[in-house]
Amino acid sequence: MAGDALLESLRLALGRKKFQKPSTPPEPLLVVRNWTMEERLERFRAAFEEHGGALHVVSSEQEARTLVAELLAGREALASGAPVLAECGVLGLAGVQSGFTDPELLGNAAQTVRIGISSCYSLLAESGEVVLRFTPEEPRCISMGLPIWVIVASRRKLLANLDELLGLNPRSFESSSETALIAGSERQEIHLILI
Amino acid sequence: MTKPTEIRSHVLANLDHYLAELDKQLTAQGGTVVYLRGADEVADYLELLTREREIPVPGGAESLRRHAERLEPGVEAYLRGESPADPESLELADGALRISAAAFLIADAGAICLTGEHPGGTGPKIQVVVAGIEKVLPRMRDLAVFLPLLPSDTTRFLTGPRRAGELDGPEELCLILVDGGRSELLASPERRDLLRCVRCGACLPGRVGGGGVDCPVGIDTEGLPLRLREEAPLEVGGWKFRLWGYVMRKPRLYEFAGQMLRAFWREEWGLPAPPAKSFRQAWREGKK
Amino acid sequence: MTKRVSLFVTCVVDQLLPSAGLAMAEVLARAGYEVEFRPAQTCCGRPAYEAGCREQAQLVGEHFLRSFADAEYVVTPSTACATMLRKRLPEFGGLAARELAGRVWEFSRFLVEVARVEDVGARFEHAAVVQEAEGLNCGPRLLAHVKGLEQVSVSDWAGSGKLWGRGEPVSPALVNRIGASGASHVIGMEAERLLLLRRALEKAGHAIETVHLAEVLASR
Repeated sequence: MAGDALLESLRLALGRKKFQKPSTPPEPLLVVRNWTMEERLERFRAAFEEHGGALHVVSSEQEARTLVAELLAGREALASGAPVLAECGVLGLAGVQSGFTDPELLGNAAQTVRIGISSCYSLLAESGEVVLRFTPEEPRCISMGLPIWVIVASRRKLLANLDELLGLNPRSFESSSETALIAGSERQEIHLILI
Repeated sequence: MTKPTEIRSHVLANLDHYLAELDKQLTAQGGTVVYLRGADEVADYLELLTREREIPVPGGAESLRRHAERLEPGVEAYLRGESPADPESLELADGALRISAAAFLIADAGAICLTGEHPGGTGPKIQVVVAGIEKVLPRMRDLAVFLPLLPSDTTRFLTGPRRAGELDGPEELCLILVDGGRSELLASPERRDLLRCVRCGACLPGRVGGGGVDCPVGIDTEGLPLRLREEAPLEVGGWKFRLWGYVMRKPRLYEFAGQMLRAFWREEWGLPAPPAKSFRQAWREGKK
Repeated sequence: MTKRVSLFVTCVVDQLLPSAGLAMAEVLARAGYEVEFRPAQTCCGRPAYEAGCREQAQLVGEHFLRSFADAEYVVTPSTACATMLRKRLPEFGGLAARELAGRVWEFSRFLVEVARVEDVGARFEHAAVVQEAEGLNCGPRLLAHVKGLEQVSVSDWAGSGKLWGRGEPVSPALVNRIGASGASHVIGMEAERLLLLRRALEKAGHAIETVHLAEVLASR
């Protein structure tokens, strides 16, 4: 069935003309929360832990690096190209592979390694969700694809809720091929290190 | 009217516009958009696709057909008031092809919203998404009111196939928009409201708030589907219900029918066998 | 003066789960009511109504009206049947139908909102899963006062079965969750869903007993 034929039959059903502009759509009400950073953190912790995630709040990049090393406990891991990981020195830890540019090599590595280390696009305090935007630096299989997932992110990423994310830059979703909201997972052990 | 109701009504009244916008946007982002009439055509399309790409299908064309029917039950499902359980995705040949159902489509971003989807590894190579044409929302920010209706541990927005430099994600993204009788529903102002449904399940028994109390998009979940079912009654209507109605107005006949039920009980009726005595027998004997 | 309640046991409880009706009568009697059963009663008409066969539903609804026209309170163990009668009787008849509709009560709501009792003095020493309640059912509030009852929670009751209309089987995943919950009993608020679940548990080989809320409240 050609698209034009379907659209034409819809116009007929609705009594509309081709290229007729719709009236302005009703605006969704975006809920604005004026939470302080402390409030955001507290709410995020409650919701994130409810989903089964483990939140570790640290005060420096050095501390983040030490914590990642502790979580790895000598095991191998794949790391994304997120700048924050390089800044923390996570990429220099023993057993951490990074800098992938070839899909096949990444795919093969993901078959054997069990831990992925990435950052994230945002964190939503109200729902405890992690927002991921998949880019060449942040491939999906390092974050969503492995049994253990360690996220390292600055607390600047902490937004109040989805409404705030959508209000900030509603068209930003188009800048990559996929965006995902994760509220815990039965498949994965998730650790978030917030700097 | 609540916001979700207003927005859904607006979309339906201008559906051709929003579908055209979605198509334009998603195509510009590298996706493919296909329009099909119903589950049959979806099955044919999938069969052709798997044959062309040499993707083996366990169970063959028949299993594709069954999956297509689950993904696209058509508007008859609404008329029957069937439960809107979301079908699970089908993944073939170790990620060569994945076929999923959309929760929403977002016109301005050219985005496909999937809930509860966990593709493994770096795949799939080809991602096909099947969606009824009514699934569209005008703008990304509308999700602020709609996403909370479909809570899920994973909500994904696909805005096209893998881009230059990206290391995973589908190499091809194909959105199949299905009419499935929806354009006819749209033409009837009384029935159009049904298409506001976003399959949140609030009206289902056995869910919190279940029992048809609060539909977030203002569908009369009790009255409307029933009014429509009166127009298109089930096959069990007709003489069987006339006989049933006659028996139910004659208490003695009803009691006799109850005894017959006990005497000729059949396993395949799907209920535990009745006890030896009905309530009214037990009550009579207890009162003696 | 003793108040009188008239039982409407529903066709399902009458034919398939009489123990729930008898237990309901006992709890109401203990709460100080004179309990009567009118043998003219049959069904509320819901099977036909849900299948879209309004004409027959109305005829059966009119029969209900004739059977209970002068009843002070009509108490039924089914939320779905009570809702059917409350909402649809007014469409089927005149003023008398509207007034009767307002006097129809689901059993648990009747206890809490009319009789004003929440603790009926029941004792039920088992670990039980409580089937999720529909609509305005007050079963959970009544169960909170039952001595010895250990409630075991099971998440997500989606797919818990439907008898009328097109019908819907009980989801095997739900049966497995209940089977794995460690409970010895399931307490249901709605006879038809309870019976569907009883059968599904039997078929899956789980030795878990299913009882109606009224049976739990009647036990000591």
